[in-house]
Amino acid sequence: MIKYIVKRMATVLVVLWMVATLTYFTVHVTPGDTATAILYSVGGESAVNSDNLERVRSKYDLDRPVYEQYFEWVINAFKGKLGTSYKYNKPVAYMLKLRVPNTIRLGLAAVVLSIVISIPFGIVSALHHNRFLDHAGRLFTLLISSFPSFWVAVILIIICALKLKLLPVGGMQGPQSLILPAVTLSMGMTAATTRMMRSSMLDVMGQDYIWVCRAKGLKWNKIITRHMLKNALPPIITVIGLQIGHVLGGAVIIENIFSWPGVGGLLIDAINAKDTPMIEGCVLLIAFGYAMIHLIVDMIYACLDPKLKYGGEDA
Amino acid sequence: MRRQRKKIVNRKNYILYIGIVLSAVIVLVTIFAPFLAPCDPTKMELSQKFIAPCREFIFGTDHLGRDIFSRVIEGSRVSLSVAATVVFFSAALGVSLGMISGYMGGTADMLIMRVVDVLLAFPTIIFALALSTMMGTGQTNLIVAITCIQWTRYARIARGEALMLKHAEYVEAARSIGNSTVQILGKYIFPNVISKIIILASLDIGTIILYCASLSFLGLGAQPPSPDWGVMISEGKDYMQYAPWMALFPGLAIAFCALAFNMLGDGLRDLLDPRLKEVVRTD
Repeated sequence: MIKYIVKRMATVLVVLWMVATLTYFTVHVTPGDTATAILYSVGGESAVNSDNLERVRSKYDLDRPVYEQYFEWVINAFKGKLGTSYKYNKPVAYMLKLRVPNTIRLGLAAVVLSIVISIPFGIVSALHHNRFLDHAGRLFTLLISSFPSFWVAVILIIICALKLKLLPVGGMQGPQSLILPAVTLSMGMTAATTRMMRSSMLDVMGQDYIWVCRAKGLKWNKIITRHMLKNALPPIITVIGLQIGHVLGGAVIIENIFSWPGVGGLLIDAINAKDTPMIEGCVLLIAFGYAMIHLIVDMIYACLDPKLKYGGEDA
Repeated sequence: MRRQRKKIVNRKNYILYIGIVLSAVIVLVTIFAPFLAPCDPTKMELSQKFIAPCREFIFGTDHLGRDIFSRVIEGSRVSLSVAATVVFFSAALGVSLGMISGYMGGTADMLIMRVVDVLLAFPTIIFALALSTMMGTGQTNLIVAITCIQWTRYARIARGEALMLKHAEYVEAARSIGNSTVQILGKYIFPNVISKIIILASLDIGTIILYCASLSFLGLGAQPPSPDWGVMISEGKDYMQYAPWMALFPGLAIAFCALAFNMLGDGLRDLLDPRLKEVVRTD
């Protein structure tokens, strides 16, 4: 298993390097002159003149060849140095450090909420296969995966914040301001995990060993908790891991609507201001988080999967 | 048990039927949008702004006095055409590269799959955001940005199938009578991939409609005054206290479309994926 983990970590490193490269060339190689864009975003059209252009180019090392800039950027990125934001004139790493805990807080709340709802829902749905509760469960998941999260956010603001005045419209003032963004963000993940839990339970329910348990005369509750859940949960871990990635993506939109001071809000601001180092930093950080979550999920799965646990390097 | 199994296999696939009907309604509305819309979707009438839903304007009017019902109907054209274009190009690119990767193996497989790995290391929205920074806003760029990621899903499925089929007896036989790689891929492997691709494509349309609306909502897709649903919700957000209907109806339209295509995809999967038919009820 150790060999598997080392191999997996090496793959993640290569993927991260490729992600960094792709991010650099996607964001950095924009049409038009970067120095002009910086001046334009800071001081408008009047700030764009040859003196200022020269100054900006030398300040941000834009006058050097692209490959030199690229190598330096990649090496610095792996050291955690992501350059200076054009808009805030502060190090990107510092800005991200301030915002990351807020995104993690929001993401965790959404993930926990979604797990708490989806696992029992999935189990109940499977246990009532093709009966009313199952159909209701399937309809529920279909509905919540069809509504756009940003629209639900707007509707929740109208109902809960503006009409009923129960919760704040946005910002981060106390735990109650976490409720609306977390509920909205958890929707997609809840739908996917409920569906997976249902089908995973149905798979397990069809296995011969469940029939053996019943033939032995075990109580139904015991069969569900000791035999079905134990076997149905491992595939859910993979789905949860994948969904956490989607939560990271969804957070960008939700943070923007609820003015939540996280990385997502920072990214949208940076895109609007054409703040290239900040965009690169945010995209790289999110992709890094995504890759790390996948790595952790694979490792948990490797620990749970007997084939990998006892099969050694063959697995 | 056998009777139970039979009952499940033969049970009516209601989700598929509902999905087909709803999707057909959407396609018809899209085709006949100009005849169904009572007003010009871009015509502004400032004397009629913020009118709540009534008999004359069933979805109300927006901040520029435009009829929201006409805009929602016209918006179906924008959303569906973008989604269909993205699905078409993603499937064409993904299936071709996936089949080559699985069938040829070796360096081609390694290269294509590493590209897929890297692209899958980004959440779709984030990569589309990064790409739209490079290419600028607008509908064409939105299509390119989403296609750049979406093809990877098709490639993975096509690769898996090609990998499985390349040693099948009939493929070996085709190879032994002198068929070229292109002929084998086109005539013998592609027909076996197509059912899975149809399932994925129908599920994808709903997802892509949601992605496009999200990006347009953030101001990176279609631009005002285009009657795009994402743009309409974004405009409605600013007036949500006075005119909640501005955001309400475009959102319902998105949900209706996504729901219809999700049901269609789900139903098709139940029909075409043999694995699901094996599920047996044990209680």
